[in-house]
Amino acid sequence: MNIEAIRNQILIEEREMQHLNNEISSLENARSNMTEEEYNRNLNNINTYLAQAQERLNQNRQIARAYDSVLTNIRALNQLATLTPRDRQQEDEIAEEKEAREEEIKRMNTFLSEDLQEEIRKTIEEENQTSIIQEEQIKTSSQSQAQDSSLETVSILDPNFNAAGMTYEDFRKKYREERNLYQNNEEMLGRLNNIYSMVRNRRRNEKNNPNYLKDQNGEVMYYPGTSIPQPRLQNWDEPTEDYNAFLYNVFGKQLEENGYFNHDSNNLLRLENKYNIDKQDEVKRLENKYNVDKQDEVKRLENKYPKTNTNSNPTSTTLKNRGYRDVIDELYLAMEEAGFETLGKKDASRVAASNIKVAKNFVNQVKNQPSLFYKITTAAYELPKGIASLIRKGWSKFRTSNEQKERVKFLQEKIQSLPSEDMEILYREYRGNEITNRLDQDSMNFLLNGAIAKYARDMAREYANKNELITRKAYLTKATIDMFQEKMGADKTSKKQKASYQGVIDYLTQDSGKMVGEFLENNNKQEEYLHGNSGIRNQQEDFRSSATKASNKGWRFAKKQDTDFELYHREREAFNAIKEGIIKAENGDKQGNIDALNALIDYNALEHSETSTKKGIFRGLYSTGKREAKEIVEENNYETDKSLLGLRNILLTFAAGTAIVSEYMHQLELQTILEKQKDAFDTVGQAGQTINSNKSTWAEGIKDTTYENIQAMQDIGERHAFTAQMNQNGRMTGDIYYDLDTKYHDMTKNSFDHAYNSFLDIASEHSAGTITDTQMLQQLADVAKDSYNNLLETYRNCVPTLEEYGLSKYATEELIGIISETAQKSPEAVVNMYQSLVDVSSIGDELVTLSAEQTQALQSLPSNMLSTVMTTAAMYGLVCQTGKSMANSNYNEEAKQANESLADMIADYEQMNTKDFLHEYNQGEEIFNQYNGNTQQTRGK
Amino acid sequence: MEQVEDLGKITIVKDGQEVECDIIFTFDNEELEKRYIAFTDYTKDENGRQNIYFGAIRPNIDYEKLEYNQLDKVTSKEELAMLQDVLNQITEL
Repeated sequence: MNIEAIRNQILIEEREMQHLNNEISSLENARSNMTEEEYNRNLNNINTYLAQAQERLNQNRQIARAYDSVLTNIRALNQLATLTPRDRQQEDEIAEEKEAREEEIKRMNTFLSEDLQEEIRKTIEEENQTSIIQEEQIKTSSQSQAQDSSLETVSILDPNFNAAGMTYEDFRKKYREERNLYQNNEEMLGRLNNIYSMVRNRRRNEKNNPNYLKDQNGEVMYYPGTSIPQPRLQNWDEPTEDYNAFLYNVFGKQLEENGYFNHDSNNLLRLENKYNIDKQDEVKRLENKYNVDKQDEVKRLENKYPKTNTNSNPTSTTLKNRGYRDVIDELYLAMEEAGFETLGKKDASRVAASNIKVAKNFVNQVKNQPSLFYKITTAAYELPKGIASLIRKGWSKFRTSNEQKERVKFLQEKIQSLPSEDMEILYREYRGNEITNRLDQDSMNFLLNGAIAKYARDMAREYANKNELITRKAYLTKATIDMFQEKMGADKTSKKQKASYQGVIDYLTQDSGKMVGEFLENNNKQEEYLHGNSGIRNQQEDFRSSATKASNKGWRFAKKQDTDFELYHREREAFNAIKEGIIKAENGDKQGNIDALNALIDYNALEHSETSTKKGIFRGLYSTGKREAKEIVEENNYETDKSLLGLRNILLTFAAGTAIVSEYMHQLELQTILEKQKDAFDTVGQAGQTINSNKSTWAEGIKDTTYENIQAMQDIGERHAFTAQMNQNGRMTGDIYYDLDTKYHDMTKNSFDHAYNSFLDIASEHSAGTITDTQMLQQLADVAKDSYNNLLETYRNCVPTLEEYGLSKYATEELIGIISETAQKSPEAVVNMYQSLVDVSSIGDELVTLSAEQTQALQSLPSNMLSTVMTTAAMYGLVCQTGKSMANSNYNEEAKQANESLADMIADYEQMNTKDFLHEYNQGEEIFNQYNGNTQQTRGK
Repeated sequence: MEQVEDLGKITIVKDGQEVECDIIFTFDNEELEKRYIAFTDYTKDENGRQNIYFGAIRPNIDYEKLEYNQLDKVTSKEELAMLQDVLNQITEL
């Protein structure tokens, strides 16, 4: 039977089965009309037919599937046969696939008859024949197309002809054709030969031009279908902007000069005209110019561009010419002068191997095998476990040398002592992505980025501080003039008094317009440093370090962050009122000063009502309102803030701990077990539930700080921060966290295995009667304590290791920044997390004590659950430890500290009466007493 | 390059099993102050290439009596390039 027949048979049998199933239904419906015996007999018959039909159907389907499979695989094999592997790896892959497909064909052929196999062969043959014919058809049609097209191209002698628009071979072919055509026309032949020579010479020159891309054989590479050379590739140490400059200014220019885009015949004419006419006169003129006047010319040039002394201070270059490269070069120079090497050791060949010893049997083995037959495997093995555990011995030291620390420290000091002009240059120009072959380029990038962020912060702070003073003055002035205006409005005030009050008001507000103008300027500058192209906030996208650690002093202004258009509109109106006041004042209208002042107060009140802040753990004040609060910053120093330090350590532990818990916590399973064995579980169950219920809180608190986030830190590290303090081999600092995490995983796995195996041993000894209940409980408690101690030791080993790195402040700030950034997404969660830590600490100690029933219950757990519980027991022992230390910290107290703030001042102004306000801020009484009933003018005082 | 009769053996744990490997070559790097050892269990990877493992040991340790905690893994690019270079030299003998 051929395949078509088989497929038809499948359809027939499917219909047959459907019919039989319908028969069964009919039989069921007619059951009441027949005896049981009849019913059963009929049913059996139908089922027999059904079974037979099903079997036939299955067989045919199998055959059809096998047929399709063989066909597909043969087609795939034919396709593979046409591929040329580009490297050994691909060759291996192709071979592998080939083998797999051949096996599949062999397997499928066992289901197929000879006839079907023959049919497949014929089908493939026909397909191959068809494709050959099609290819030939395409070929002939393209040839004819090519022939047609050649007739349509312009002649070489045509003014519009451009040899660069075709490959050189095509050009030569065309030249030969036309030479034959014009063989009897001397003039045409001459022109033809000239153009050909020009193109040929151009091509020869290309080979020596370093700006063009060459292949391995030194041949110039052209754009496809043309003879226009491609530009060289970007050098590995060449900044992109330089390469772009090369492309536009050098490569592009050369293409133009060499006439790739000009029509060659025209180009030739142009060149001929240029150098033929007056050539000799021109040459003489040039020779005379540079021979006779040469010395004078040289002197003139030397005077214009005097040579600089080698000892001259590089900073003598003008600020206009001085760029960030100059600053960086000087830093490297300083390093070299201090005796540090600055060139990178990127070439492996510079890291030389010596004292090579080879085993003879290996030499014999490799005699006929190139190095490609060997694979260097880096991470596929582990050290033997039995000798000593990783837990107790810790891990091998990270490779840092003292020299590396010294280098980085030196650089750090140099950068910190850069003058503000250099910092401004760096702030404007440096993007932190320099790639050079200099050693410590990564450190340099990192340190500079940190310094720039700090500089921007400092500058923003400077302007914010200025504005704070202005605002204070504004509020006090406003309160004072309000007071006087009130007095002026009173019935008892005489005209003379009114005049004197007015004089006071004029005096106090004479500079208000200017002051408000200054305020706006400072605000703009602050805005720029925070939010501009290289502002902190944008850098913060990269750094996430604590750029805006606010102090308790702060005042609120706004940056547009959301789309509250109504608010935006009101802001704009208030802003315009300010500007109108300023302009009025500038034009000599005294009322303008008061208007500007009023407008500023109003604007500020508007913003104040829309901003709110919260104190974060690391961030200090941060915005939670519609408008972002812009703070006067004072840095919180982690190293002196013990409560923050404690919390940081907890978070660090949690960063790894959460990874452990989330990986091994089988929440649903545990819940099921707990439900089934509630009574038996008792303490363990309760602890588990508490743990469970708190887990989500912890997860909220450090939402994404799992292994994946640690991986993400590596990505961030690649951009800037983490690459700083590594050794000469250029190992990325992101590896710290990778290693840490790997070690945590290793450690916890070992901890699991150790705890689980110990538990099994104890349980089996107990069940064999070798140890008593009490002994068992004690040993279980020991195991739990052991695991806990191991974790604790790891924790103790881990944190100092992080701090060991030279720029630990930055590194840990980064980590903290990332963790706190995550935490900031749900700030309540962090508070809750802390609280839950305290809760857990009260029950943690009980985990190490187990009753017999609890042990039995544990033993009945699936092995993975058991390991989970044992590890969680250990984990929470650790949590207890840190929770307890947390409870002793002063964090809460600090958060409650209230300082006098400008924000409070503003709030008070809105609520208090003028006299009390001035009294509160110790300004008004004096003025009030001075002018109350006193007609003396104070102008010019 | 010195050919030596026998460079000894080292036991590692691979996929949970202890495996004894032959040390096939060693070399030093004075700049980095490390000694590198290459060893193999003669197994092959999925592409049919023989696996060679590397470790680094600190100076002043007699590698013929190497203990477990005296072997560091090698992961930096420069060192790996150096190792490949040495392997190339050996295969060109």
